[in-house]
Amino acid sequence: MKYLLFLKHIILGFFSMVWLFPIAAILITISKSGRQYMDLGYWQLPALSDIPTNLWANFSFAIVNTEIISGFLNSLLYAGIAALGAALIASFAGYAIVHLDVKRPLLWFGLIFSGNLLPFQMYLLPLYLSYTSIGIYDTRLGFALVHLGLCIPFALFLYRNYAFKVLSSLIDAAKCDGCTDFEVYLHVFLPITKPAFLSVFIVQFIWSWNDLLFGILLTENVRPIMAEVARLSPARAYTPVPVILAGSLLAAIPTIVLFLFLNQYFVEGLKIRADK
Amino acid sequence: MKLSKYLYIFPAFIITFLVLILPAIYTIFLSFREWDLLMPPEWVGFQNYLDIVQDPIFLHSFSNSIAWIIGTLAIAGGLALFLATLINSCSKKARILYVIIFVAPFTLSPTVVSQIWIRILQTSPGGINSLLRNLGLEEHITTWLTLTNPIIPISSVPVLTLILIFVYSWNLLGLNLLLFLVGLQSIPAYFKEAAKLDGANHFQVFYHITLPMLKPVTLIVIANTIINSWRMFDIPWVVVSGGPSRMSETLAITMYRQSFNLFRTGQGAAIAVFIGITGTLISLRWLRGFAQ
Repeated sequence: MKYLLFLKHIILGFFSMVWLFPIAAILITISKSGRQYMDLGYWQLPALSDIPTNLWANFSFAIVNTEIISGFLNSLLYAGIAALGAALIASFAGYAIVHLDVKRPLLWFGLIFSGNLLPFQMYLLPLYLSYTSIGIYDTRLGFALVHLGLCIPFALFLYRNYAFKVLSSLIDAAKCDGCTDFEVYLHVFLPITKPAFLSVFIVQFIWSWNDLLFGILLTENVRPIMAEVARLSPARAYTPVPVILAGSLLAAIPTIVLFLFLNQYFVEGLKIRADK
Repeated sequence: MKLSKYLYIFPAFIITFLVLILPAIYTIFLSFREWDLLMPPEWVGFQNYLDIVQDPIFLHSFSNSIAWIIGTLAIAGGLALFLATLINSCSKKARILYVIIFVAPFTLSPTVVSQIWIRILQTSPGGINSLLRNLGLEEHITTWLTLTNPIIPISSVPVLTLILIFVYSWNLLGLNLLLFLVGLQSIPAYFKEAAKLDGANHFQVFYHITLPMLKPVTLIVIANTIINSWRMFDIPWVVVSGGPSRMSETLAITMYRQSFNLFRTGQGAAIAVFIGITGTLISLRWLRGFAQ
């Protein structure tokens, strides 16, 4: 038994090292200047007194001389609109499909959810062609609309599953008290489904923030963050490698923070699929 | 007054219809035409489909994408389950430590992950080659990003694809591990106690109690992993642009190149429809799994 316990920690320790070594690589690299990155060994730290100046220089270079910040602000807008919009629109649709007696609720759900079954490749060519022909290619509004559309089907899936948990008797009671459909939505349905709202928001915000494919397809000047990160390269504008990694790390801050504080909602969001 | 109920569904429906459903239908239409975006389009029936199944690049991407599914299922799925069962039996403090270590990469996007791994895989200065040199294993130093020799002779999947699969698994494993841990903790302890009282050993408990109870979570993990691998674009694109010589392209990258770099929109659309149909079948199979 002792022997097994020892083996367990050896195995976990081994994989922990494998999983940590790329993280160590980032931290060591951003502590160096571009010169030191080329001259010192890859795993060798610079003199400790150099580290604060190098960190400062790398991050400020990434902020001032690359497009990371403009991409960052663009993506705050895109992911904000897509995640908030999808949560709101899905809450309306989920409410109607589950609690208002619309005809053929399953058909409505299926039609909207079919957008989540199809891989993204099915949308690329027509979106590119129509966006260039109606003049919303490379516009913030056009891009936010695509991300919103891509977020709605899965948002509705999560929301509909959660909506079943709201007791119909509660809705009926509110209606007996003379509430209109919208008042029931606002005062009963929305407050009860707040966890679903948060789950949808977080899952979709992270998706939108991390998207690369639609960013490189539909934008050129109003690029989202990941399209900017993907473009960072020493071959372009002589960006040193430590600056590239500092910029990449800046791009990851929102998802790290969201995940750190709200991970239970994220996991809930994925788990709701299993409940139903 | 009756119509007002449908107003709640209308925004969701109209946006998905315009942004997703209509484009998907239009892609099917495009796949029956030949159009380079300049000359007038020409109706060619199923010719694009016949062309792609004879195109060595498509067949190569297809086997790469299959390798992506198998590889990520094994590493990001199988290894995650193995590690989760080990972590689940640790003390609370150790558990939190291990979860932080394995979930940390998942908070980074595939694009950021690619930027990190490019520097690790590069020849010089490069993380792996430098490590090999420090360990005195100089003879293994190589150009990792151009390893196009096949993994096994009968398939053309290059070693580079395997490396990229590992990079993505490094990224994704944390999510699967988290889901497995949640699943493991929802199994009541007395189930296992009862089995042990009946004389079951560790492996019997795992096989007869843990695995069946984990089925719902396992379905999510498998489906999620397969679907993400089947449409994998970001990592091969950012790390090596699908190269060298298009050797590490996945289906999603081949679709993008044919459509937007080579302007063979008909072939691009045909590949999109292929990914679409197969992907939908996988998703539906997964949904049916939930319904049970």
